[in-house]
Formats: sequence, C-alpha cells, structure tokens
Amino acid sequence: MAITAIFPIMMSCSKDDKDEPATNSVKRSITIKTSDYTKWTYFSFEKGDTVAVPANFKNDKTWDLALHRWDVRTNSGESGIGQGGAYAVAYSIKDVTEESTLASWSVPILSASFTKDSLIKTYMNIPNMYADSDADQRVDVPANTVLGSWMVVKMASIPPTYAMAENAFVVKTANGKYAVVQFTNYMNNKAEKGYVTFEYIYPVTIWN
Amino acid sequence: MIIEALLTCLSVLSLPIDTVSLRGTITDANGNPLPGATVMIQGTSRGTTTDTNGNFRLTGKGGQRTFQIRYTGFTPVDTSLYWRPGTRPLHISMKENSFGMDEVVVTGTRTPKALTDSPVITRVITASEIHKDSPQSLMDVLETELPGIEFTRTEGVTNSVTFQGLSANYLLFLVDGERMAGETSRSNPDFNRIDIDNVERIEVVKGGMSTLYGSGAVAGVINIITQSANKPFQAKVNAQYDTEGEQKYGLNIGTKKGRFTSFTSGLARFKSAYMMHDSKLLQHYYDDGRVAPSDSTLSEIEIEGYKNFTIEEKLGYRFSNKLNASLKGSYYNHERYNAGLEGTLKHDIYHDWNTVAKMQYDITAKSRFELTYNYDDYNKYYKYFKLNETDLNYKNILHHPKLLFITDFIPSNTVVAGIETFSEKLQTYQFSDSTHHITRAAAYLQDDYTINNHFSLQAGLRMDHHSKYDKVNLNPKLSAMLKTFGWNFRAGYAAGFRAPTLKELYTAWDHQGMFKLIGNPNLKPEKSHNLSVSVEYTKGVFNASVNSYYNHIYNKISTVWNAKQDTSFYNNIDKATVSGIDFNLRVRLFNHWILKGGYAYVRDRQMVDGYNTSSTRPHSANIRLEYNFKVNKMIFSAGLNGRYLGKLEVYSEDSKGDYYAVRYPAYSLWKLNLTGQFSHGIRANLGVNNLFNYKPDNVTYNAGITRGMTIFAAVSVAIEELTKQL
Repeated sequence: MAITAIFPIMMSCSKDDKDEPATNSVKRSITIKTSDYTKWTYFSFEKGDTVAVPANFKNDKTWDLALHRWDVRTNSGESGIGQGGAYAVAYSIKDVTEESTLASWSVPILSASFTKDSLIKTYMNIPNMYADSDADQRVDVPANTVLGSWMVVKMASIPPTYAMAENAFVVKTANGKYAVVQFTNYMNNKAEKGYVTFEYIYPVTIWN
Repeated sequence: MIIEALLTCLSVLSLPIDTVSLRGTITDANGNPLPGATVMIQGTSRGTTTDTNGNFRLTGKGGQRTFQIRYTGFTPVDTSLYWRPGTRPLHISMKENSFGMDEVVVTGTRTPKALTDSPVITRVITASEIHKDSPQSLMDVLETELPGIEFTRTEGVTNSVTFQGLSANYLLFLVDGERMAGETSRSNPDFNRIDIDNVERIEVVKGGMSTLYGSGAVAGVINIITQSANKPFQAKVNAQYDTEGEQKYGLNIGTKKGRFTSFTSGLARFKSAYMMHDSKLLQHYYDDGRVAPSDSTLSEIEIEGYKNFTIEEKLGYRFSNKLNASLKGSYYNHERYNAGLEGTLKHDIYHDWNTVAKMQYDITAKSRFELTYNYDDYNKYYKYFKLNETDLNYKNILHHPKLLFITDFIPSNTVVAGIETFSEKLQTYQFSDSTHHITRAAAYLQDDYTINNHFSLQAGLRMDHHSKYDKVNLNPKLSAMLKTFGWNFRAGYAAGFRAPTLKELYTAWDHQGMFKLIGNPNLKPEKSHNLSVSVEYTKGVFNASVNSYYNHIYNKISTVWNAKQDTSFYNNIDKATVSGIDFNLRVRLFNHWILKGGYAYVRDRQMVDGYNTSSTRPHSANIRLEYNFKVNKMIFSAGLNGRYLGKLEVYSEDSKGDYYAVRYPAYSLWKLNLTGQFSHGIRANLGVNNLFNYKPDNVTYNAGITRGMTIFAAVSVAIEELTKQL
C-alpha cells in the first residue's frame, strides 16, 4: 500500500518532441496519484518526472514541486532550501498551442512577486468525519498557498464539489528557473478523485 | 308487448343474419358530443371510435349483441340489443365519473372492486388527471395529486420519497401489481423506470398492506397500472420540451384483434446536467440563540443530466373464454452524468430487464386462478469514456412467482388465497464477497365479507417464511366499512413488517478509509402496527374525505456507531411513531369548473436527546382549479396547480454534542397549464412550471430544488384518429 503509482503522460502538442524549438522548452503533462493522505510525491521539471522522496526534503534541491491531496509545495521557504516560489497569472496555458508561441513564451513579472512556502493546516491522515470532538485533526505542514488555490473543494456540499482554477501559475524551480504550470484534472480515467494532472511548459523566461 | 316479443322471436328465427350496420351518437350528460369514444362489440375485435361530432358507424354480423361504450373519465356503458337491418340509431348519453369514484380498483383486494366499495382507503389518480398536465415523470404526478408526498435529494441522489412521514422502506411501489428490483438509494426504487405516458391509472392505498403484499407495505402501496390495447388499431406519438432543455418523446402502437392483443410503447427522455449554488450561507440555529454558518463558503449541488430509454411490449392471448395469458417484456436504460469534467470521464448507467408472464383461468365470472411470474434484473454500471470500458457495481435479480385463487363461492364473500415465493440475489460493491441471496415464501388469505348493503368487513392473515429465520411471521389485518347515504366510514388495523434487506444483512463497506458500514446477519424483521380511520362523503360532483392514521414501527433497523466512531453497524434498536391526518376535497362547479384540494398534517417525532431530528415537513397542501370550455369543436382546459410545503426545522448534533436546527422555509410552487384537444386526434399543451419563479436560498437536502420558472410545450397525435379523419 505504500507504493505510489505514477502515470506520466506525454501530451500530444502540435508536433512530436523531436521538433522541439531552439529554446528547448517543452510542453508536457503528467498525472500524479495524490490520494494517499500520508504521502507527498516529489517532482523535478529538469527530469520531467517524479523523483524519490528525499530523506530530508528541506535540504534537497533535486525536487521542484511536491503534491499531497490538493496541497502543493515548491522548493522554498518552510519547504526547502531552493529558490522556489509561485505566482498566479491571469491567463490559461491552453492559450499556448503553437510552437512559435511556446518558443518565445515569456512572463512579464518581477521575481519578487513569487510567494514562498509557509506553514498551512492540512489533514495528514484520513479525517475521522465522525470524531466525537471538535479538535482540529489538521496539522501544520509547509506548502505553497498560491499554488494551493488551484483547487477549491466544498466539503459542506453533499457530495463535496470540486472546482479547479482556470488560470495558470508560474513556478520557480529549486535552481531558479521558471516553469508555467496549469492543473487540468483531479481525477483518473475512472473519475476517482486524488489523481492530479498538470500541464507545464519548461523552461520559460521571465521579464524583470 | 306480446306482438313485439313475437316479432323478436321471428327475427331470431329468420337466419342467416347478414352484415348489418349501426349508426349512433355518443354525448355527455349535457348533449355535447364526445369525440374519440370507443364502441366495441363485446366478445369480438369489432369496434370503432366516434368522430368530432360524436358520431359513429359500425358494421358487423347481426344478432343479440352487447355494445361496450368507453370514454376516459366517463362511466362505462354497456348496451344490449338485437341487431338487425333497420336497427334505430343509438343515442348514448354518458355520465361523467365523479372523480373516479366509479373506477374499478384492484390493489386493495387483488380483485376488481368499485372504488366506493373498497374497504381500504384508495385514491385513484385517473388517466385524465395524469395526462392533462403533460407531466415529465411519475414524481410530477404524485406531487401534484397527493399532499404529504415529497421527493427530496438525499446523499446526492435524486428522488428519495417520503409519504405520510415514512420513507421508501415503508412504502411499496408496484407496477401492474408487481415489485421492482433494485434501488437508486435508501430503498427507493428507480422511479425513472416508469414511462408516465404509458400509465393508465395510479392506485394509492393508504394504510398497511403487508397481508397481501408482504414486506415493506407498511404505510401504503402505490400501484402503477400501465396501458393495454383496447382498439383494433391505436397509435400515438408525443413530444415535450421545456425551456430548461428537458425533452421527452413517446410512441405507442396497439392492437386488439380477435384473441390477440399487443401493445408496444417506447420513451426517450433527455436532460442536461448543471450545477446549482446556494445564494446565502446555510445557518445553524442553536437553542441558546447562537447562529453559525454551516461552512465558510456557499454550498453547491450537482444536478445530473440524463439520457433515458424505455421500451415495453405487452402481448395477450385469449385461448378460450376461460383461459387468458399475457406476457410483458421491458427494457430500461438510464444514463446519468454530472456536469463538467467528471461527465466527460464517467457516466452512471442503470438498466433493467423485466419479464412478467401471467395466466388467468376463469372458473366463473368472479372466481378464478391467476398464476404470475415476475422476473426483474436491475443493474448499475460505470461507463468510463477514456478507457472505453464498463464496470458493473450493482446487480439485483428477483424471481417472484405467485398463485392466486379468488372466489365468491361463499355467498356475500370474496376470498383471495395466495401462495408465493420471492427470491432475491444481490451483488454490490458494498459487499466484501460477491453475492448474497434470500428466499421468502408466503401464504395468505383475505376475505371481504359484505354483511349487507351498508356494512362490510375485510379480514386477512399472512404467513411468511424467510430463508434466514426458523420462525414463521404472522401478519393479520382487519378492516370494516359502513356505507350509508353517500357516507363511507372506514376503520382498520393492519400489522406490517419489513424484512431486512440484503444490504442491511451483509454490507461490509469501507468508505475510502473514512468509516466502515457493516451489515448484521442476525437482524430481525421490523414490525409495525397501523391504525386508520376515515370518513368520505360523495354526492354527485362533490367528494370530500378525512383520513387519519397512526403507524408504530418497532425493531426498527438503524445504524449504530462503535465506541471508536469509525464503524457503523446495522441493528434492530430503533422505533418510530408517525401519525397524521389529511383532508381531501373535489368538487365540480357550474359544469365548467373543477376544484380539488388536499391538506396533510404529519406528526413525526424522531426525538434524540429531546430534539426532533425528523426531516418530514409537518404541513403540506395541494390545490387545483380547472376550467374546461369549448370553442367550436375544440375542447380546452386550463388548470392551475399549487403545491404548498410548510416550514421545517431539522435538528442535528454538532461535533461538540450541541444540537442545532437547520430551518427550511415554507414555499409553494404553482403550475399553469393550457390543453387543447383538436380534431384529427391532436392534443397540445402549453404551460408554465414554477409560475412565481421560486428559488430556494439553499439547495440542500430538504429544499425544493428548482432553478425557477420554466415554460413547457407538448403535443400528441392519436394516429388512428388522424388517419380516419384525413
């Protein structure tokens, strides 16, 4: 049960990967199983894949993003020693369809606008919905509040409803590079929740 | 006199009789023609229908004949005459049914009985009441006609019924007297299976009926009687559309020729999915005056879309005057989906195969054997679009053979004796092992004793044996009726029971690690006592009734949490007492107006630590005002329906053990409908649903979930009329 299944999926863009533009930017998509309340799964843009959970994730620069349920970490602030952070942009990654756009993709933002990770409250165990007390079962963990806004779950609705942000995010990697990330799904092909798919373009340049 | 008799004898002797013809006119009591009335020669397939002027012409072999004249909403007329060349035209004036009081009902006694003579309180929703307003579904009809019935959303599943304060566990829904397999949730049968356009009438029996119908018929039986062919050729197409995008298309073709009848019907319904949002935060009201919102954000609810197909074939064959056989087969497919991303990945598929075979052997006019076999196979699937595969997650099969013997051999008594077995098999994702099954066997006897013109008694006893128990369950009932000068007084006692469901016995379900629900193979059946008293007065076009009831359920099955609060077990620990009273009034005014109204009060006290946790609205009422008028040969009907639901306060316990109330406001929904019956068998409807555009602030459990006003239009064409008049 401790094994986290990973389903990398290559998104079919307009062309194959062979025809990558000169900047070497790629637009890809990956699905990560996040349904386990007790686990974080780490991802590296450079590798384009998940990486093994570092023994001490805070002192490790091999990962750029980490996912747990609907929570997201960048390698920054409370989460790690990297140069990470995240910034919400007003547009969608879907607007980028042509390779020409991909190659010249640039983001007019200041690096100071990036939000670093801080402590948030989340469930690190399956919540006991019927616990006979009002004790908050959530615990403090480091995560990124800007990236965390990608998903709004309304637990009071019956059944709970899920809504994804329609905008993309610019994510700063552990080594100070940039990626554009958009979360596109929270379910697997059986509509089971707890499978996060995101599309990303990496690397991108930003204007300062 | 003597000469006339002599002439008749002579004409009988003057064989052979040639083909002769008969003309005539069918009118209502005021002399208005009734277009589309049927005239059949009894014992033959020969018949016709009247034209727009109420005239008909019929040819056939002369001789002593009985002509059966039928028109929906009117008392049937049978007229016998010696038919020969020169027989004078027939002028028949038909009497309008006083609200179905002349209807023949079958549910209360399992044998045809005039409604007014039925010893159990039965409400008939007639064909004209069902079809006049172009209902979208069975739920529409029941909510329009019955105060005290409510279909709400529970646990995100639509159409969870409560009637007279009791849930689907204690109400039995039958189609042509037969049970349906499967449930959508909480023992609610899949109401979408019912093709409402194909329903001839609905019989609602209030009170305990476990003696005749077994498990679950605790608070009443709702028996949906479907159409059969009654003409040599009949066919109908209809279409309906509303501004919310709900669509319905229906088709039926029937024939009754000689010994053979066939009726085929098909239905397709579509609706798209959407989300609804609260417009205000749902508040929790505490007794100490505190008010706290239930959540920091506005709640939402998924309203599912669907694609629904139903097809049914009913065949009948008369082997002889005594032996009749029928076979019904139907297929139902309902595809349900959510709006948005989820709907692109997964749809829920519900489908069902149903076969009912029946043989009836008439010993005399009122004594007969009936052998029926009901097979029903209900399935739920997930359909995954990206994976292009389906996954069965629920399968419920029932086999239900029964043999009935009905006789009036003992003078003044109608005796119904029956034996039956009921086998059920269930496969569900909520079981850890694959499949479980149970078998119940039962024998029952019921006697209707008509003591004199005024007084009758009904007594019955049922013995049930359940494959899980050694003990036989005995279930008695007794009711009495006094009938005098238009007054009917009825009083009755009925024991009732509900056998634990396979889910309650065998569930072993882990809900995503959050909690477990565990069945209990040692559950006993729930038992109940039902008392009812009613008074009804009918005079001509006026009908009023008051009906009161008291239900006490014990050994009630409920779920109980363990000390760790992570597992819930089924147990026979609960009890419930529900009582109520309802008033119904129907009157026709100045020939053109009909006023109908009903009010229901339900007292349901589900006390926990001194707080009422019941979610039944104590007060509800229905009203209908209808105006019928004619313009040239077109008949118009305008109807205004109102449905009022009183306010409701439901108490729940919060995580600190404090009780709070959620307050649901009173609301009413109004529907305006205009129907026109034109020549060529064409009928058109135009109407407005939710006339005053009511929108609830909170779209949750017990709220009336509506998006506001919609306009609908419907049209139907009776092909046999169309082809005749072209």
